[in-house]
Amino acid sequence: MSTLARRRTTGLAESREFFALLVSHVPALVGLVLLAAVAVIAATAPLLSLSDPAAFSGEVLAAPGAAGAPLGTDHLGRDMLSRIVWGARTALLVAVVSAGIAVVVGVVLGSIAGFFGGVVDDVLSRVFDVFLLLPAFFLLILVVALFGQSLLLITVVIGLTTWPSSARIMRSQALSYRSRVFVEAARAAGAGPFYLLARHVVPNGIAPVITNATILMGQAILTEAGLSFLGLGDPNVVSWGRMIFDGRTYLDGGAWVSLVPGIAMLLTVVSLNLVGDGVSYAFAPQARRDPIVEEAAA
Amino acid sequence: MRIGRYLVRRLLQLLPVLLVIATIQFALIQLAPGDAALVIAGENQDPGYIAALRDRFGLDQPMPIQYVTYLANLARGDLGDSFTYGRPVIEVIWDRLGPTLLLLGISMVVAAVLGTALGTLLSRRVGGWLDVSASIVAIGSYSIPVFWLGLVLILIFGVWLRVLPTSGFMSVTGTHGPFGIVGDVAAHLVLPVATLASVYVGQYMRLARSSVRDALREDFVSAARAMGFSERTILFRYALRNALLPIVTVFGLHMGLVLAGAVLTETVFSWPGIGTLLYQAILARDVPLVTGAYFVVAVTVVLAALITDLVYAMLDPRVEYR
Repeated sequence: MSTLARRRTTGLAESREFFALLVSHVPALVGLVLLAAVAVIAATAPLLSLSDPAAFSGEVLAAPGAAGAPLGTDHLGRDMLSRIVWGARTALLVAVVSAGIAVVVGVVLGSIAGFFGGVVDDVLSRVFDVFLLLPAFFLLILVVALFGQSLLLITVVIGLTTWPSSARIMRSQALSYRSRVFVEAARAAGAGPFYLLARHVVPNGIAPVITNATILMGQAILTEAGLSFLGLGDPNVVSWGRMIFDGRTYLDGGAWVSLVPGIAMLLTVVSLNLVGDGVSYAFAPQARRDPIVEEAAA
Repeated sequence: MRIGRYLVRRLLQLLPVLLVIATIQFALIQLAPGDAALVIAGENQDPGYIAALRDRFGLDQPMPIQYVTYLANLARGDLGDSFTYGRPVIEVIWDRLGPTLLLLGISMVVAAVLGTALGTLLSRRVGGWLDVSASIVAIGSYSIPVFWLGLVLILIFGVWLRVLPTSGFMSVTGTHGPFGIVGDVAAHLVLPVATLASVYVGQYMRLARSSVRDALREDFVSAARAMGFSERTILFRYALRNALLPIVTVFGLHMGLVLAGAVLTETVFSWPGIGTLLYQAILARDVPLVTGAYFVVAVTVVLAALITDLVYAMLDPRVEYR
């Protein structure tokens, strides 16, 4: 139980050390600042005194810098700045909820597979392999074409098709933690398997899953945008992907309609990936892990 | 003989994957709002046609029989009829496969070769300013929306500079320019290939960088150094060769993702492949065609995984065909 006690007392110091390492990693710091800015803008969108993102008002295709429209207006005269801000809400909502689903499903199934081993692991690992091979984007297209274009549906399906990478990472973590001394000690003290999983294996092994989640968040934003670009997004929300699509016929003379939302999306996804790099470094400075490589290999 | 048995065993392992793919497809059509025959029929609501569909897919039968009939039809390649084309879905998709494979194949080779080469060079300088800036470029490449990059390239090379064609497979004017039809198609390929390859080059670069770096720490590299081989020989003949294995794996396993990128790229450049077909099918609510595209892509992904396994086994003598 001494491990437990020590963990409790050092928890704060550990998280301080973690945070210090994270912000000492310059790219991660840049990513965190960018991400915080996007999150604050998205969260406070209703409080900012912006024009209605759906209102057809003012001049059509006004260039950025025009009076009342710092980022210009689109082909229907809607304010680009307001649409970018409201689009950030959509992007972050999709990212957080879908990655949350992927992490929960992945951690539960992956830790069970790695911890129990044997037949359980064999069966679950086969399930991971099968789901890893499902072409998520095309499945999403099919689901939306059959069931309608709702943001909730899109988000949930993204989560339910991207969990296998979390599961495989968590499985290998559980496999390596299940025979560590502190887990054996807790087992000897009479702890049951699910207590061991919840109290020792998952908290200690979850770091690479969290890193992977930042990458999944970026991918989820790109997936939703791709779907909106194909005309399958939710028509009731502002989506950066749809904005890019709208601008594609105005490249000559109205390039900002496509350029601005693309830049917003690029910055958001880059910041997520930079934070992922930094988190991975702060969890294990010596390991020099590469989360993008791990996502690719998982 | 052993490789033959290995192939058969791997094929048997992939059968459950195909079953899951087909079952999801069946379940989605059954669960979709409305009668399954009407869903499959799409806009074609002719009663005679719907009755024929019910018969063909066994839709008046109990659910288990419907399921078996559906699987049997899929196994025979019967994905229903596209109502926009008035032909079997499988034929419509087959006709568009060529351009997609051309775009996909060239882009993937460009991304893999360029990324691996850059990553190998960077593996020697991990932590230097060149490495850090390359890392940032790689993250950018990994984070960029592929369809947006396509539009940016169209803006630069098509709208501003006017040096490259931005749409279609070849010129429609009948004249193919100084290099004939091949040169014409090649010119039309430049921007789509640049778009699709850019999105994946960063990942190969980071993958090559870390796997070559790991290989350089292996004992056989120290042994080769001790024997006096030049650094160049060590890097390319020993380290890179061993580092190729994870790269090959990613090449194969990412077929689904890459096909998604190809669909978006084709849509941007009006490239006449499966992507443009799928986009038109979505617009026209041609459900059989959308369903068929999902099935064909899923089967392609499974086949790519199988081929990857075989290539891996051939590259790495340590893999046994058990």
